[in-house]
Amino acid sequence: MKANIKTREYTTVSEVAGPLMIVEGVEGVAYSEIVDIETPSGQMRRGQVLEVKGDVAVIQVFEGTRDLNTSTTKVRFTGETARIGVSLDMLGRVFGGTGNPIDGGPEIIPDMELDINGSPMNPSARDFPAEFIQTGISTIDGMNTLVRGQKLPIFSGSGLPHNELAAQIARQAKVLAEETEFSVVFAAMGITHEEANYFMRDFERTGALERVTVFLNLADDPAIERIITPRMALTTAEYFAFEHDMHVLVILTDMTNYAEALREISAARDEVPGRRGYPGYMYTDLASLYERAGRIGGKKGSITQMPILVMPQDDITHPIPDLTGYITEGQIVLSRELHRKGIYPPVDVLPSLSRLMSGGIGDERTREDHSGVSDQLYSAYAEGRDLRDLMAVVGEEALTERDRNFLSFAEGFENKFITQTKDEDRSITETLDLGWELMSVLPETELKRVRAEHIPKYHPAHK
Amino acid sequence: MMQKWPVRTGRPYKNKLDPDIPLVTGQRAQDTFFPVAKGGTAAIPGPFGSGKTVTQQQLAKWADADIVVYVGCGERGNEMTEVLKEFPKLEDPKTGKPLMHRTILIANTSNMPVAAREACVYTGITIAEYFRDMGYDVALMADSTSRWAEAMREISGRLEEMPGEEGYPAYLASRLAQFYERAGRVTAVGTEDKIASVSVVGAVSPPGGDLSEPVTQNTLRICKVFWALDASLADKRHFPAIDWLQSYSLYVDSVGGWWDESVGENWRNVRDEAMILLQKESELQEIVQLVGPDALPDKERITLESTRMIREDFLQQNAYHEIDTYCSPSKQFKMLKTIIMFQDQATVALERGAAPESLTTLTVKEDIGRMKYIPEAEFDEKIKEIQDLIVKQTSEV
Repeated sequence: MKANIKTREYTTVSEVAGPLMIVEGVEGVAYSEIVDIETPSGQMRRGQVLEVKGDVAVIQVFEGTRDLNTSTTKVRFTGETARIGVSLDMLGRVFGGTGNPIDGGPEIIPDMELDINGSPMNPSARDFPAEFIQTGISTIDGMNTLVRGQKLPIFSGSGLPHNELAAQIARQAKVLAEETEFSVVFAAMGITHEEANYFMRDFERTGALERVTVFLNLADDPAIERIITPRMALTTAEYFAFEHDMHVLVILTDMTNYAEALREISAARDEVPGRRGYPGYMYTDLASLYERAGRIGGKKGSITQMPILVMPQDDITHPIPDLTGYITEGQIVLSRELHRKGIYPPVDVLPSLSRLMSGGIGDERTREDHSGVSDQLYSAYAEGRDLRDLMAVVGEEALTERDRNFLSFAEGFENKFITQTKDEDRSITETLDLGWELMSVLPETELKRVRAEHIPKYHPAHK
Repeated sequence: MMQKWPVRTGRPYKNKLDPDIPLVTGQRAQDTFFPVAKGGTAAIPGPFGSGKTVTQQQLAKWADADIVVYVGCGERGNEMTEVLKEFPKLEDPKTGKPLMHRTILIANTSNMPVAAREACVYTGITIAEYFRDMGYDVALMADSTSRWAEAMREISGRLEEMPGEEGYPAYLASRLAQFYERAGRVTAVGTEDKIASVSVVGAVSPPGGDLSEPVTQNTLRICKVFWALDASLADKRHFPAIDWLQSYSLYVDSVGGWWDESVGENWRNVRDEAMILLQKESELQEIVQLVGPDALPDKERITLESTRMIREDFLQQNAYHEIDTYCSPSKQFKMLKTIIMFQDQATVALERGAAPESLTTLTVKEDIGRMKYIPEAEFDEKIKEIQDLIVKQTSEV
């Protein structure tokens, strides 16, 4: 950040508390202005104004407040909000959580400087997402279809293979009948070195690295940086998508760590806490990230978001997954029970959902029977699962013939439809045909969700 | 025509009338079981993914109001875009013009400023009142009032007011009441004594689907209709996921007259009978959970068969199916009557000594399952055939 005419410097730090620093006697300081901080040892750090009241400014320090003192610390107000210099050269590069290159390569010569907070898209300027993305994963393509411009999070638990699934999606995602591959912007917030290495290795192994831009804030980096890491990443993605017509897939992991950082700042500011100590404005704050997915009318590019979050104690009603679910267009939920049974990917389809599915499927997009097959699989599997509970109580003998059919369907669904290998890239036709094959154990009179005219056309018994 | 009006003050009217005409929505679960009246208020609480927005959009599409005001309060940008792209293409069944011509959309997506979110609900209801004063029946959908309450909470927090329950300001209940009280069927101000109405349907997004939280509870105290959306129904793809045992409507009595008059004589009896069957089913299900289906008497097994029909073939309605998306009151009534007829005929056959297995495997069940997909124009004819089939097949076993 270059010094400009609006820069003012103060040494009037009155208090350092947690990630916050309070400076007194300041003049003309603006909300969310970026500050440069010179520590007593001459090190430079970055911060942002969180609150201005009279001549007092509250600053959050991104790289942590350790060894800042109140006597010799210098604070320079830059007069600008947080910006990031972006350029096409960022593809294939690795950046730290605050946007500096950490891969040993040269500095980026910016093509544009953009405000990292972006600006909300006017709904009437948006284009409705309707292009089917084939991820090659049956439970997603067949039943929770992802479309370009959607935000679809993965709700996971600690120890579940969400990273493998996200890497597989990043690797396999494509739009049918188009050659262009997705560019991936990967933002890591508070994940371990090991997890970050897993993604980096996977990108390298598959030769995807040259179309990936990585922002890394690892577990041992200051928590407060996590507030800006995803914003840097999304701003870069917006530049790729709307200035250079690229289709960008943004992977944000792990949103739980982001929310923790938000809580830390809120607590340090003595705000009235909301549920479980998270700030009352967490919904708004999360929305300011998630809502940056989408397409803009008249522009070719798109931003598709796939945030990953680890649900504390696998609890979907915890504020983080709960608020996320209210903003995103659906969710993919991973299940510990399926994982224990050795099923990969352990996607529990019942609580999973894609809200934009109906626009992206059907004749000309995927296949005419898609929505019927999906509904039928859902209701049959739900019924099978209910019956499984019933069987545990009353025993198998007490069940009717019809009930046994549903049980064996649920079994087949888990072992054949959900289960696939980490390299298996199933096409949508394969997925739908597999669905029909599994449904054929049920009597045809039970297939109420599929259209009557599709049964003779796709049902294996009629082929 | 242009008027300026402070949005937080309700516009005047001469007097309020009793809401006794239903707001026909073309949605079976709502119209038949839990109707809302013109000038009434309804709340749709439900966790995410239970279909609040689709339900609201269905109402915006098919409700027989003259004007629809849709307030997207702190919701998703793409959903607003969907409405903007889809409504101009849909045809208003009453006028034949694009649906967009009668729709007013107020878009405040979740990443827009909080202060605007606090105001947008008032903007919506004021516009609704303006059209009401011209003599139109207006329906207002607010999706979601929880975001509005949260905006109040955020502003209240910044003002350092003393927080009430869960950090919401102490005036939350009175603000909600003030808002919903602006609904109503009224005689409008003016020399012509026009009768017009504003109906309000508010979605509520309770955190974690927990209905005991303050916004839901305060809303329920005011609203006369409660459509409880249930996550486990949504998981089974039972849509609309309206829980028939938890939901209620206080307008059933007042709109009964309209139904009896314009649809069918004994609407109320058929509806109540279906409701009793559903209630009975939930008791029977508990027994089945304990001892298995075989232990039930034959009569109860027929009841379970009929209630499965009510649930799957009547209550479930596919918003994305071109025919099923709208169901006229007369079709609704005949569908339900047919299912009740099956129940009655099957019971008679049972008493005559027919085996329950042969009754539960009748082929007419499949016809009943597909009756919702019959177009309105052919419906009267086809439903006769199905009813004849029921009589024929049950008497043959």
